Amino acid sequence: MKSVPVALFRYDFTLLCRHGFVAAYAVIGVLYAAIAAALPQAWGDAVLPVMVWSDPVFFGFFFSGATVCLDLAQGTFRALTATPLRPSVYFLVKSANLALLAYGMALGISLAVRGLAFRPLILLVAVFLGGAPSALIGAALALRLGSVNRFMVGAIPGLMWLSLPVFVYAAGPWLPGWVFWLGRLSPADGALRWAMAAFAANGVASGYGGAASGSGGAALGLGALVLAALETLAWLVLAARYALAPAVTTAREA
Amino acid sequence: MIHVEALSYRYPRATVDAVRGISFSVGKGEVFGFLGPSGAGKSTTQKILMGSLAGYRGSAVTGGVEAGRADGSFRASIGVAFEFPCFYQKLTGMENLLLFSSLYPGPKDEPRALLDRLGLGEAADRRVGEYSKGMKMRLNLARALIHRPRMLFLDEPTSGLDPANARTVRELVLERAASGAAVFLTTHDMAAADALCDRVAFLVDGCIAACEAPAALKRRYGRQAVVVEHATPVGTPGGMPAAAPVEFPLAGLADNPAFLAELRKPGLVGVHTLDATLDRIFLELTGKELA
Repeated sequence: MKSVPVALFRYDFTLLCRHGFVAAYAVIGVLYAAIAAALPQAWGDAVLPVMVWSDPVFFGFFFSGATVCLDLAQGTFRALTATPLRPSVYFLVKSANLALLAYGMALGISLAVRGLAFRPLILLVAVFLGGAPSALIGAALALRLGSVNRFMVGAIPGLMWLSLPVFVYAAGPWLPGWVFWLGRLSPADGALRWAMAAFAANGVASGYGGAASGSGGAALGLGALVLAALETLAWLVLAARYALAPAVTTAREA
Repeated sequence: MIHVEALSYRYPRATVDAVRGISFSVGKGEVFGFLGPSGAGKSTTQKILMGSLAGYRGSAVTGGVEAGRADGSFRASIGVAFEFPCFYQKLTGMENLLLFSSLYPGPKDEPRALLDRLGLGEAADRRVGEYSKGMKMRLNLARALIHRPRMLFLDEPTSGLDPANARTVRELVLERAASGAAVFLTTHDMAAADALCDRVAFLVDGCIAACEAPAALKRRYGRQAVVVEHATPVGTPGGMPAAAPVEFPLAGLADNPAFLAELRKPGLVGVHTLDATLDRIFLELTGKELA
């Protein structure tokens, strides 16, 4: 059983390539890098954390759901449920491959715009924290909705929820308090803090001061980052336990 | 290997049970046919036995494990060929087989040899999206067999196959049964059931109407007689009817002078028993067609 994840990783990645997901990441990565590099320094600094955060969060959510829809359409999900493979391993592999792609894209954009002036390990944490819960929620939604067409429509509220932190980041002080807190309660919030930390010039940026404040802001301590990571992990557990697991059972019995 | 006792299941929001108190068992090395029309409860029963459907009443023990408590090691011991082959269309046949076989522990068949045996050797490195239905069906069986399961669940395994490939599939299934695997075959193809199964169960509206060896069923519901046929004599004018077949009772056949005389007549073309076919028995027992 030791080789199970290795083979799964390999063929899942092969499928991501053959279905064109890798090409999509590459095209968008080049586009993002070109846009960020063309912006004035301050604007680029403000936009860069959002760009690298959006890859794992939005693409993780959307592409994870799309690949699950493909599995459902081809019947392969049903075939997999008849094997000893644990559903958690299956989703872990999907999430990890998407997060790896997102990290490659984030690294490329960061190198193109910032050179070596960023923290790649913190960026890695940001990408995985952003990608894992988003991918699980996308997969659970896809299992519930059952087809690409229904997922395309049903994904909109999910994407809006996941995108709330960026509104808070861009316009925090001017938003009503309840929007601020709704953004703070998004599963993608912690990842955005880590993404900002990856590019903060001095220590870790607090962010949420509005995009106009650039990437600066008061340093965010390690404690705050750990708290952000724990919040995300809590979302991960909740998503796995209360969204994904029941969706797997329903899909298996269908 | 499989013991089912008073098994019932009702789908959520349904008003009647899909499976109604059925009982049967399948032994090691036995090929058990589960026959019935669409909607009879075959797939529901199979899903329960595979551990995919919880919330049933009664008992369904597969390989010593109650199906409702099926775990990874249970699933490692079963092989499943679904009615509709389900593969990654953008992976090759070999890649699909390697991916699925990697999910199982223990010794496995050599994938290339298995594909060769099923006539898929040359197509192994082509994407499954380019396969015909018959090729997918054979790959479907290869996936079910590759990890050498102790229990095989096969749903219409010869559907869409030409006679030569259908024979290869039947041979493979019988080989696995001979090596000790219990085979649970779901089908409405009576010819396949007749050729493969040690016993068959007729399922109608969630109930088992009969459960016996095909030969025993055919004997019981057939006529205990033989028919002797002769060719139309040479030189018979056109438009003349052929010689009518003559029927003799099986009892005392060896000492029946009329039968022996009939055998000695020139132009003998055949002697047939009047066994019933499984289709006819099914219709007689259930009042329903199988299709």
